[in-house]
Order: sequence, then C-alpha cells, then structure tokens
Amino acid sequence: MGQILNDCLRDTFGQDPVPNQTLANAPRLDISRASAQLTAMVGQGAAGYNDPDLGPFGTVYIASDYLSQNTPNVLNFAYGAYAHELANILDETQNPPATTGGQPYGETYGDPNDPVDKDTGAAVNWCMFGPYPISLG
Amino acid sequence: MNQIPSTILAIVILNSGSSLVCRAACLQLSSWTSAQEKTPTYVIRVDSEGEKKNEQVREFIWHHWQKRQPGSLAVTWFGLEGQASEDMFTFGSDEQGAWSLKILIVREPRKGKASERIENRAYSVERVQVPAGPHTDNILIPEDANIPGSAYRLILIRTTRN
Repeated sequence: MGQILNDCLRDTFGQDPVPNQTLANAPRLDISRASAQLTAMVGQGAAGYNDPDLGPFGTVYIASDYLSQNTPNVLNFAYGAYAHELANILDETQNPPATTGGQPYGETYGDPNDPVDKDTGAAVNWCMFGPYPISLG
Repeated sequence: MNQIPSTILAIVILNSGSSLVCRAACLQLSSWTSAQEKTPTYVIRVDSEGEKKNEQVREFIWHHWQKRQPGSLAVTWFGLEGQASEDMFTFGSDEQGAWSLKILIVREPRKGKASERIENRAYSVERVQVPAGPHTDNILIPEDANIPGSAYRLILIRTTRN
C-alpha cells in the first residue's frame, strides 16, 4: 500500500511537492478513543480525525470501536482512514489558513463537488480505491 | 487487500436519526422535489453496515436514470470526520428539455468554515465495476447489464448531454 499511497498523494497534490511517506515521517496513530470520545473531541460524529500540530508529523485519530469490529472490511477501513487523515495533515501543514489564496483549510486538493466529502483525504481515497459510493465526473 | 477497496468507508443508513439530521437542509431542499412520489430519505454514517444502504442508493439512481422516471432522493452522508453532506438528487428535464439529474449538495460548517450549497446537473450516468484493487482504472459496465448495486459504482457525468 505504501507505493500506492505515495503515487496517489503525488497525483492529488499535483504540482505541489509532497514528501515521500515512510514509517520515519508517518503521523502518530492514536486509537485510544472510541467514536463517542472522538465525537466529543471533534464536536460532530467522527470515526476519524487529525491534528496536524500534535507530534512531529501530526496525529491521526481513528475510532477504536471501528477498528475492533469483527468484519471483513475492518483492515480496509483502517488503511483508508489513515490515508485520508494523513493526506489532510499534509495539506493542512503545507497550506495553512490564509496562505494560498483562501482555499478551504484541508481541502486544497479535494473535489468541491464530491457528493460526500470534499477534503484532500477524500480525493486521495478516490485515487487509491475508486469512486465511492457515487461520484461526480 | 483483495477485499473491495471501496468499502473502506462503509456506511449505514440510520432512519431513526434522519429527521434530526435532515431538518434544516430538507426544508431548503424541498423545493426541488417532485410531488409525484414520496422522496426516500437516507441518513448514512461511516459504519460496517452501510454498504447495503449505498447499494440501494445506487440502484435507485440507476433505475430512475435508465427508466427516465421523474423523482427525487435525499441522502445525508456523514464523512469520516463527521461532517454532513446533505444531497438531493432530482430526476427530470432541464430548461431545454434534456433528461438530467440535478444534484444539490448542502454541507454543514466544518472547522470554522461556513456552510455551503452547491448545485450540479448530470446529463449522463455511468456504472463502473467495483475496482479490483487499489489504483485501478474504471471499467464501464454495459447499460443493459442487470446487476445489483453491490457490483458497481456510479459516476454522474456533468459535461455531456444526451
């Protein structure tokens, strides 16, 4: 998945440089919170979130109860959620508010017309895993 | 990683919460809906049960598009971070009489941003195969193929008129 992730980050960020992602520069993964706790922290019903300023490369939060489900897709969910929040961290780090023409924070490379989620993480997920659940073309 | 990758963000419809979630947006969206049929309303969250409901959404859209059946569908999707995108899909003719699908997206505020309202209109709907793996090309499914919503994804094309 590492090569695919890096390919899609480059595709999504286009002309803007994005550092090659390895374990050495990976955001910290915090799975200590269940979705209810994450929701309380975020203020809306979240299964994933991020803090670009916590830790040397930011922190990715994924709800622990989602990861502990005994379903065939839990590993896919974990990969996708981490890639999603990692991409958002890279965007938020490289494009802080009011630095690049007023683009929405964390949505510099996202699709504003995406029916579900317009942030950069969703765009990277789209590149990695295809249209879901529907997409505008 | 042989599982269907697109099920990463599995989602589920929670009918019990739909009225709360949809209250504000649906008032705004109601002017788009046809009085010819009751508009199905879905509230979809990231959850392991959700793909079944997404299958229903895809089948509804494909059926109405193929049959050129007027109607509408309201779907509130919650993204990974919990932001709601309230989408209204309305099937009908545009001002020039071309068969189309109008898509209205209303998003709630996120990280201090304002809410927003986006309108699009699609003039073609394509079914593509569920990707066989990460970073694979979309493979178009023939229009006459009779397959369930679990076996395809939908792409709504905005730029081409029939």
